[in-house]
Amino acid sequence: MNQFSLPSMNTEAARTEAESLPRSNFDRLRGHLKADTLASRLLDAWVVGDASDALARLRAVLDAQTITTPESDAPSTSSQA
Amino acid sequence: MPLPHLRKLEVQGFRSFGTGRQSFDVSDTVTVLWGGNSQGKSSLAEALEFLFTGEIVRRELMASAKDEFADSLRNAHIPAATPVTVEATIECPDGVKRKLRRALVNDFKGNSACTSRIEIDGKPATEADLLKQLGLKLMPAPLRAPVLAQHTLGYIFSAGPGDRATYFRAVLDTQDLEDFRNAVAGLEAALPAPQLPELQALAAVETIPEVAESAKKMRTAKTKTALDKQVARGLEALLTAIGITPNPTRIERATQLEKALEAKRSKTFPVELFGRRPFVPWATPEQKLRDVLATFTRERNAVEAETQRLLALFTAALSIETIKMAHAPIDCPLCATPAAMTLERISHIREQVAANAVYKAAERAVGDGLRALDAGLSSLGQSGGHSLPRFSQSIPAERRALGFTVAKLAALVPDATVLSEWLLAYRRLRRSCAALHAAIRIARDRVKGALNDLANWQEAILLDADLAAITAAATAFETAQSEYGEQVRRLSESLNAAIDRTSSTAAWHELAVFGRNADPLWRGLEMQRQHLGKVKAVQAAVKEIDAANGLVADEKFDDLSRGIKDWWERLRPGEPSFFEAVKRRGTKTRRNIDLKVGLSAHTDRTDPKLRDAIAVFSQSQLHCLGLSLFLARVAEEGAGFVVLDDPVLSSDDDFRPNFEASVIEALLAAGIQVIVLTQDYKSWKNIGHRWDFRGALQLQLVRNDPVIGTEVRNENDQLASMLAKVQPFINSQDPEQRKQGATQLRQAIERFCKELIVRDRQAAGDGLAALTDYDGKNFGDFKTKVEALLTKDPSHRGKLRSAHSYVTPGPHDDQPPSTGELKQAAGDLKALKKAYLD
Repeated sequence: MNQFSLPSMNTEAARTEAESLPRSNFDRLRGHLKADTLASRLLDAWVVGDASDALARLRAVLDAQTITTPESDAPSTSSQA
Repeated sequence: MPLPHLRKLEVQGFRSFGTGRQSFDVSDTVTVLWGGNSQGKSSLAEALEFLFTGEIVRRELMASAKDEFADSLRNAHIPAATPVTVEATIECPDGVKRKLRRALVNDFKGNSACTSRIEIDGKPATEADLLKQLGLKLMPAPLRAPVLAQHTLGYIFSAGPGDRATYFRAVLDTQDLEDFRNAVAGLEAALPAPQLPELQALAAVETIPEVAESAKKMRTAKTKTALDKQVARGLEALLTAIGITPNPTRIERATQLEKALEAKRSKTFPVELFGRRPFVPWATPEQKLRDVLATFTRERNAVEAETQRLLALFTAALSIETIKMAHAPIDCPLCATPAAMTLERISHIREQVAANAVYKAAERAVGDGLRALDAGLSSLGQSGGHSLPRFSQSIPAERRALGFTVAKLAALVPDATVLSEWLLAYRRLRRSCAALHAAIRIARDRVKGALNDLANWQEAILLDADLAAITAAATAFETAQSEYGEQVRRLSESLNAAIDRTSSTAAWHELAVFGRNADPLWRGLEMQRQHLGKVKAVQAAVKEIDAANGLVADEKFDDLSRGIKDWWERLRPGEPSFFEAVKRRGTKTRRNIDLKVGLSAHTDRTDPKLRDAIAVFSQSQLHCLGLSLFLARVAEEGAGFVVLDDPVLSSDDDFRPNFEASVIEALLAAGIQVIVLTQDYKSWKNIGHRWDFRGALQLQLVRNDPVIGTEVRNENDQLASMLAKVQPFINSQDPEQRKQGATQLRQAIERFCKELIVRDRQAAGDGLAALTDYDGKNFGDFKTKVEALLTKDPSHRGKLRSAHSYVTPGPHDDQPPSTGELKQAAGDLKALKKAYLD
């Protein structure tokens, strides 16, 4: 259903289409984010649980984020240049 | 679920409403109120806005300065005691009627907002109660109430890009997405950047011109080996630059650089004299020494003094074979006393000799322990002395000769506090060292005394106390060492920086440290890479969320566009210029929102050219677009009623019928109660007639007295309507307009006369008397009868005559009445109406 239209103006087809569409803003947003990205994981954390803890949940997701950096080749104090 | 509907409204003291409290019912379907200019239409619309929101949005949208609206809500003419209130009886979704009342407490003052108090059914309430108790859901700011005024209708076209974007974000109700986006963006600030000394050192090394290239590669080294290699190259480059042939290995080069640095620094200040040896901590003597002392004391006490004196004699006696092997008493080998050496006596001698052997062993152990203790104390004292700074082990003359003076330090170290705190720490260190030496000396003297005469030494307990004192002094010395270490570190940092500046050796030390061991730098670089990686990840997430939020906005704009289109088509069906969409200017923009329209050269709207509405739409079209947008919002938000203040421009005669018919039809079909305020008399009549079958109610707004204020009247007061309608013509500078005004005033005078005669006939019992009895007749036909009825004041007859005279042109007279004449005629007629009809 076109949410800005009047009920009397709606067609059955429009209603059916509306029912198949995501409803909430966050549902819509999820539909536009790539799966398994940091953005989608942050969204998952944001929408689940108390709003008062939402920032802490985002930080937890970020803390768990693995950043790929060069592997250390066995740190040593080797004196060879 | 039913929507909340208004049932009754009451207004007093609000803007044009004055002392006269106006109370009127409204229709459940359509209520249309007519009023001329300045009669109170906008005041009523804003009174309802004030009732629901506690403010008027016009102040936010239109005022160039907030103080322009000072004292604007309270009628300027009413006494201070008159309250300013707006009330509505509302039939709530649960079917119960409740009364919402808002009273103005403080009007706008300067830049301060107004304040008000709301009640529901006489009880104090909050804004939240509007939804909770009444089912009234307000729309997002700035246009929160379902009240459309002229100034709000044009808002989106006059607002700047930022305000327009904000408005549409509010319309789309995507604040939750904005909150999420901003929370994610805020994560970047919450990521602490590593503040490691190694990274600061690398930044310093990067400033050495000869090392800059290698240092840059150190920062980006992908492996520890690569980092070591770049450190070695940096060392090589610097050593070569200062004329030293680099040794093959990195650590050797680091040593070369350290020596070069030390030599350079020494030329400026003998920093090596700050050097200290490590202090070997004092280990409290083991329990073993205490045990040995205790054993010794016990054994010494166990051996009789007489035994110790005769020990040699006893030992010699036991070495005699006859005594050693005796099975019966024998004669004493020394004094020959017969049978003096009994078996018991021999046994006693054996026991004494054995006890003395244990005592001697304990005595040896104590001697060994005390000597070891003495050696330990000696080492402790030496260690304490050696752990003092080198400069303190020289005499002042030697220090001065080497250039180590406080005055020179003060000249080099810019922060006097650093120097003074170092001096204080040094003095504490010296005092604690002296205290330690004193404690050691006491203990060593006691040990020495013990070793000289162990057999009679009785000071084991005192020695124990001495050792405890040494432990305390050593601990205090270690603390002083630690404190001094921190102060000398600060001093050295400051001093070395100053020396390095003057000797051009800045960051050499840091490079040498990297050369000795680059592991800490590697770990620091890894931490920094982790940090930067997370920052980039957050930035990428924000970018992705921004793009996705934009797509969500696009979806919702599409929905909104369809709603606007529906209303647009009801207002202006079939036009070749039509509303197309409200959308973002581009996929990456969050700031610019455009309203796109289609321009077609064909009646079937084919091949439309899309343009920005604000650029190509006429004022009339923009007006309709604003109305369409407002109605789309009202329908979306589920408002139970809508208040429209002159929703169609007076010049839009072509589209007014569409509003009166199609738009109101759709609103009623959606269950939305309609309240229309208009100055167009024809429109007022048409809406009333068209929707009479649905119970439409027609009311009029009249403001004859600024103190009494706007009055809301039923449509039956036709004469009042005529007087109100003529007002604009009276003041016109256009002669033709005034001529028209004179005609309307003459008709009003005739209406007054007819109503007066009919009322008199009805009072006399003529139940069939009606205004239509006088159709086709004019003032001359009933002047005599009317004048006979004007008995309340002798002046009334003359007033009626002169009023008629002012508005009635003579034969061949084309000169219209003046504004003054028309005002006088209208004023006299109002006075007569009030005296005889009201």
